[in-house]
Amino acid sequence: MTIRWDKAVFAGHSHLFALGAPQGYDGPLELVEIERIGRPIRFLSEKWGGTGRSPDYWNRLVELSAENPVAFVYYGNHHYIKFMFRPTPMFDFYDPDVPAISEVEGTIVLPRSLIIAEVHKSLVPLNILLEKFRKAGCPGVRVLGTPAPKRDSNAYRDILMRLPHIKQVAAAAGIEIAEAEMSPECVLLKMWRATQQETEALCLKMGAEFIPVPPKSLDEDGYLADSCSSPDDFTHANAFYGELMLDWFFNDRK
Amino acid sequence: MRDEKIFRHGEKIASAGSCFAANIVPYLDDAGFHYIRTEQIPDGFGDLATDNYSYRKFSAAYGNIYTARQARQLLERALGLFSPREDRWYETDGSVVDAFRPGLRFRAQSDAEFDFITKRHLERVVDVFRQADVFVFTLGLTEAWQSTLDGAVFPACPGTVAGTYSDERHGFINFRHGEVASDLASFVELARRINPAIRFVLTVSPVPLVATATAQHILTATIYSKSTLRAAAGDVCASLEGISYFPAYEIVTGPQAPHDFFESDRREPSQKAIREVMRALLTHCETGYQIEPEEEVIGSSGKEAAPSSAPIGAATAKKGPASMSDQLSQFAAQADCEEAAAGL
Repeated sequence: MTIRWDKAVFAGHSHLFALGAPQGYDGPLELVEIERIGRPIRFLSEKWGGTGRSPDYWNRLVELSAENPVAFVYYGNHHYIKFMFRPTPMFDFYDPDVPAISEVEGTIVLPRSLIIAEVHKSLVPLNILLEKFRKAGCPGVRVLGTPAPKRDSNAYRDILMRLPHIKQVAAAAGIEIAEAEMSPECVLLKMWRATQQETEALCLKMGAEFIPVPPKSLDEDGYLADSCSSPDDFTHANAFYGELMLDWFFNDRK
Repeated sequence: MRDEKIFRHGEKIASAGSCFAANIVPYLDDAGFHYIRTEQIPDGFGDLATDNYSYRKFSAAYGNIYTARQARQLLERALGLFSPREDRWYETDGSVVDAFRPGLRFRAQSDAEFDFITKRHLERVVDVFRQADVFVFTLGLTEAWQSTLDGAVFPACPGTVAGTYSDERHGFINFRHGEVASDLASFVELARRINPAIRFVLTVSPVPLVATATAQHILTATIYSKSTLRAAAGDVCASLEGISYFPAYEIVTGPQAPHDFFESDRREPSQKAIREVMRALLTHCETGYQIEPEEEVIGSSGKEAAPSSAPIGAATAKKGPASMSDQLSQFAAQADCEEAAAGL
């Protein structure tokens, strides 16, 4: 059966906005059609509060999935939330394609299986959601990869320094952002890769398709390409990334 | 005991040893000493139960070290002087088990990952000795299982926690006094290659053997083991500078010890015993933190107050991380440990 991906409902967390979903949307929960890369794309939209999607949002997506293929982004910032600032001690883990940390004294190495267990914790709700789509009889489910981390993790601190509300919150917690040490970018990259790989494995297990990030969105070492980086956003990619992802989504991925 | 203080104010302390040794750590934290930990799990992973066998309860993730030979070989490996020929086992699920840390819950999935993990672990072991002012080592056993290829001592008999036992590759050894003393001396010498100024405190675990691989009665085997360890510790203290002996074993098992210094299984030291050991220890340290002996805790009615139900080391009812580590240490001490497995 051919799946009409041009009829897909696009949904998900904040990385959806790079694809063109209306970030400032203030209307009721409904499908909003926006033209991107010369196509009408239907985005399931609700007012974004910055803390995730409401239960109604996901319930509505499940309802829509009975008749429509679904394409969604799921979280994608887990590695930042916990590990953007350098923990004590700093940790590293094995990834055959990414170098080890060399510059942080006292780094401990954790087994990759422990990292995967940590990643799996964050994928539990995704597992539940995929099961709901399956039960609803969704004709096709695609989970989209989320952007790779930036090459320079200090860029995150620079951005944070420019956000007044972040500085306020940090100051209240006794944290001086200017002096905060960031985790080496190679570890953030490894965490991101582990998350993408485990998400893909889960999709395979649940009968969904995983669409990895487009190769053009990565630089030669696997970090977010400069062309896809937003100077004012420390965890999200820009609109150009969104175009690349949509083009990748709709066309032959070879 | 001599008048000199066991731990001086501001000193950095590290430790290793058998299951019993894990009990002292929360008290050191509470008493304001800096207990060295070079392989703590970052907070972000704190809710993942990492393992049994106290790997995270000591200064590095080496787990329980039961024999002097194990301690010596750990430093030899860390200094690149010894590369055991059998250092890993392959499980049917594809995981690669560390033969010297078989109880780790999260295992390597390839030789390359195993080598990466092990290399960094041994670097952190060296860091322990580099940073420590004082190293406390609790001797637990004389019985062990070793590789027939090169004498590498395993913390548990292969085939019990992990791996497969082989009559060709594995053998039992019951270390004798001379061997224990020699291994201890070598251990100290190796540590002082890393940190010439490091001091040592030796203790002997009062926990009796749960089983013996000798043909002897368990009681006979226990007394032999503890006697051998005690004598060897005494000899080393007498012959080398900067090493002292702390009588934890005597406090718990001596004729003066009350019956309730052991739990009903007559094997696990009670909380009362541990408190008394730590009270005695801290009395001979430079710290303002003291543990009151239980018999002196009298209520206003003149009746003896009920035994403290506070967590280990929480004599001042501290909350927060110290309390959590107390509870975890208590759990670790009560859980099945490799010492039991070693006796199978």
